[in-house]
Amino acid sequence: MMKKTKSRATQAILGGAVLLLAVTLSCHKSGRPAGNQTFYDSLGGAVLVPDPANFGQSVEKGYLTIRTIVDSALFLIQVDPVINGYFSIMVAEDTAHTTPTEYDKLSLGITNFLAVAAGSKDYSYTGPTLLDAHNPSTNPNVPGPIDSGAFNEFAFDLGRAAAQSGLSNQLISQLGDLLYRYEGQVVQP
Amino acid sequence: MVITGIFAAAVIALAIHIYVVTHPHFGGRSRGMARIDLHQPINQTDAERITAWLYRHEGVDHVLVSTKSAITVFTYSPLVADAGRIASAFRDSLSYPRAVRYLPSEVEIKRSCPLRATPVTNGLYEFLKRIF
Repeated sequence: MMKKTKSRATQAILGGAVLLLAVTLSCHKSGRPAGNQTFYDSLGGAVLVPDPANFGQSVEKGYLTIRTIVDSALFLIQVDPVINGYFSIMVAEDTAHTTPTEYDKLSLGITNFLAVAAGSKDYSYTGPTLLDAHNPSTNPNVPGPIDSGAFNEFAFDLGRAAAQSGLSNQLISQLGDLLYRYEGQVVQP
Repeated sequence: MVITGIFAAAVIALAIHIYVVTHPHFGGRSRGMARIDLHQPINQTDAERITAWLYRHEGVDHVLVSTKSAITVFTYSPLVADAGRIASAFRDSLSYPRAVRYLPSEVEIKRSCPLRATPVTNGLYEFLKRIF
């Protein structure tokens, strides 16, 4: 009886170890096969790399590229009087010194949105749709319709940030294409 | 009983591994952003002086000064730096008497871009999505 239990326990340990190994290895993705490449793949894809902002952590290269661009863009947006009013929350006072800050949340929200839009399968965006977020009837806090000038300025700042991050002209152009797919959801009549 | 216990332990170890690998951590990289509006024209020399002055503060990790809009923006670790004190010292130490730290009103905050993630919910969603 004792022997049987020991044997089952050994099998369970081995089974658990195999399961653990299988899923651990599955975390190291090698990306999609060539020919079916998404924009996310072009930005580095699902290959895990050390996260420079989080010691000991990994991050997908595609996600890291997008996050770097978004973080640079948030600076450019905040010094840009044409659109900084739409993003004022990220410089709000934080007397409680709580983390994550509003800046963290905005960076994460925009990064996740763009990562998913670019083709990431491993990250998710759980915020409102762009249509709902920019529609005064579904988001009463929207002061009014966003005009195309403001959208163009946002795209311009993101493009400048992408250039500063070292993205090639071709990839910046693809980023522009991606952004303008959503123009109709942001700029509403 | 033993098998169930070992299997449960393996599942927990697996869950911890996935969580650690995928969960966005803000403890180390959490950053606050602060903005100072100068309300006077500045040139490149001013921009360089302001940038150097801000970088001298522990916890400040990135600075951008726009000569075009005369706006200064910096990010900082909220665990190390106090943006309010830095902004006060900025006006007192540098010769920009009209410099004001811009703090949005409640209305402006409500009107801001709603694409903000809630990291706990988001992390949990990603975590569960990877398991199932």
